Amino acid sequence: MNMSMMKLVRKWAPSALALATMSSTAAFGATEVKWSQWKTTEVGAKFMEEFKAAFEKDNPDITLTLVDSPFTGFHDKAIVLYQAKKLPDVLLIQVDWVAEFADLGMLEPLDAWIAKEPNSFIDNIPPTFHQKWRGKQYYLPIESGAVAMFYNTDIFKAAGISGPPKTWDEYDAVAKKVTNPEKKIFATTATLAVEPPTNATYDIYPLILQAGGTIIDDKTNRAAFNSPAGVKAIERYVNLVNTAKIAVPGVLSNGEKEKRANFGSGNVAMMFEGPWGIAIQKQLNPNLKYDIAPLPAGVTTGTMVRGSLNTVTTQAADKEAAWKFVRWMSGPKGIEMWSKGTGGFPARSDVANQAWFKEKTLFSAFTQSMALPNARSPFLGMPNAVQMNKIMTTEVQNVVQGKKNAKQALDDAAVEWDKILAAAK
Amino acid sequence: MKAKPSFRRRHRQEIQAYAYLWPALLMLGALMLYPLAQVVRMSFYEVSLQREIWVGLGNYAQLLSTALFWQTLWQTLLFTAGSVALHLAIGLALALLLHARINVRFRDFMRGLLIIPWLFAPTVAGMIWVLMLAPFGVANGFLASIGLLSPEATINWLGSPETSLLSVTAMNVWRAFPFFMVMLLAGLQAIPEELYEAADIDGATGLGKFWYITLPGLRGVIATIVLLDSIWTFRAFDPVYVMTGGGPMNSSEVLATAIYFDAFQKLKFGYASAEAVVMFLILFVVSAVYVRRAVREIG
Repeated sequence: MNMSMMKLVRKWAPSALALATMSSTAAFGATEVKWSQWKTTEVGAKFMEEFKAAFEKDNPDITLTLVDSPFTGFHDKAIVLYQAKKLPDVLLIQVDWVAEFADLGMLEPLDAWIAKEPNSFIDNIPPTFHQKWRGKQYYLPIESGAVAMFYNTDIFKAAGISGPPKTWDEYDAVAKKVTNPEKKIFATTATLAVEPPTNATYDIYPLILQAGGTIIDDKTNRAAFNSPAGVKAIERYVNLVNTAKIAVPGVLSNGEKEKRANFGSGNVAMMFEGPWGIAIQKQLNPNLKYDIAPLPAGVTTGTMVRGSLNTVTTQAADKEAAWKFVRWMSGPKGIEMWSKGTGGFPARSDVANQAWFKEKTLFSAFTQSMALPNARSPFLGMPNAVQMNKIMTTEVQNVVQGKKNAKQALDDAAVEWDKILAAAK
Repeated sequence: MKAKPSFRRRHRQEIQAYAYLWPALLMLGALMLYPLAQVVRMSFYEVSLQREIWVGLGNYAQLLSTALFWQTLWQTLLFTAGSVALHLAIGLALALLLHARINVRFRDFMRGLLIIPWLFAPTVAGMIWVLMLAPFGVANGFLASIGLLSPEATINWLGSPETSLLSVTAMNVWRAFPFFMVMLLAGLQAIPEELYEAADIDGATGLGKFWYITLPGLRGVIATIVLLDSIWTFRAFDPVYVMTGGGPMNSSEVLATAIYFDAFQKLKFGYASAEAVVMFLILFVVSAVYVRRAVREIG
């Protein structure tokens, strides 16, 4: 090797060596934060890349790595990753999973970090998402929303129905009027599949609230849905499915996928769904003509509030960096960009009050629903909501099949729920 | 007197064989024996991800006294027996058809076509059948087109306790019959033609030839593939998980899915381990029969 070549090597070798020892996925000098979520499939890779770029522009010392997995099996996969000590830094979860994952030791409490933020940061997050588990705050929402009623305006128009039903009686009348099995048009897709066990959120729990019932008694921390109001709610539901036959056949095997596909294909007049359904329907059928209204009221109103929540995991490589991402995403800028890009309902009132959002008339029903009495999210206080949802779904299946009456089914579900609630104390 | 050769010299071939085998055996040990030992150990504890409490045989006692376990075991046996029997019947029928004196090109084409279901991963096959068996899917549409179902009626194949396990079994049969077909076809081609010629001379009927020549000639192959398929089907997870999730009302739950849900949804890892050990013991007995047969044949 001649002298000039040797000088070149001596000059660049240290840099080359430094580069070679760096992580292949992190930008030069940046910390990597891995965010595990299921949203890429729902909202598209293009937007997710834009979102990532926006975060990294505000935080040039952090490289955000998107780790996408389908929603089906996401919960189980997270547990397996935790056992394998390979949890990502930030984990997106559902409201149902907070207590369970926290008790398993998967989630880092955020209280200390939140305490350093100005009051306006947490005050603008809906009170539902201030619920703590065992006195600690483990999450921040990225999107939220109450369950409302999507309705196909073409089907309504063809049936001569002028507007969405506002009460149970109006709903029953509309449902019977629009149902036409010969034309394969049904009022709704009743969803009682056990996997994933989130269907009770849309079909069962809101009905119990609308009937004047409660899911869990806050004072005794015991199941309270097996009241006369709860029984009335289930009896009405089963009657609509079995007697009036207003639901798409296959109730016991229909889930969220089928519900959304049926609505998107124009086979179903009404669908109970959250604001995340707007983006999903846009992907399924952008030409579908529909509107959204609050859920019909029984003796009172009632709906479930759900949301997708970001958490910092206990196995995060750099918890401070992970918090930076969580904080940014649930802050005004992150929520505004996320809501604009995905069509999701903002999880901050300062963003929901912005002019651009107020102009989105489709979301007004969700805003109204969140403000009504009985907009609840009991999941945040359920120690194993996945299992409890499955128990409820299985018992309602028993009623649909005629194996139990509503009272027996709810009593049996309450016994199992109370065991789980008691074990978690 | 000649000196006795050393141990090493006497067993040189065996030592050489083990020398080649030990890396693979070590890997197998790590990948199989260690997880197995862990599962057996966990079955004696009440296990959550953060603590373990010794319960001795408590998990087994709870398991054996739970009605759902016995229901699940029964459904697993039904699923296995039904799948294996139909695999054999359909596989044998098609193998006999393909073995008949037909155009070679046509036979090769049909053999290629009929093997297609075997190429699908169980998950993919399950998803396809979910769509086919949907209330307004191809299956109901076909039945309506041939007049067996009225146009506005539907059969709730996956959402009815009466038909959920049957539907999963049907998918499993469709996906795996080609394996039987291919193995039995190979077995048929190994039966000497002279036996059939001699039977023809003696005036044997078709049924007679099948009963006294074909079946005995296929006995070894049938025994092997039935045993293997029983093991594979007994521990099948994908078809049930993808198609029904074990529902409705646990009517299509099998041991594999029950273990999964008990572990990852109910978070009862110790109990799920006990279930897994029971499943392992059942499969071990079946496998022992197969291994004994194989060793006898090699001997």
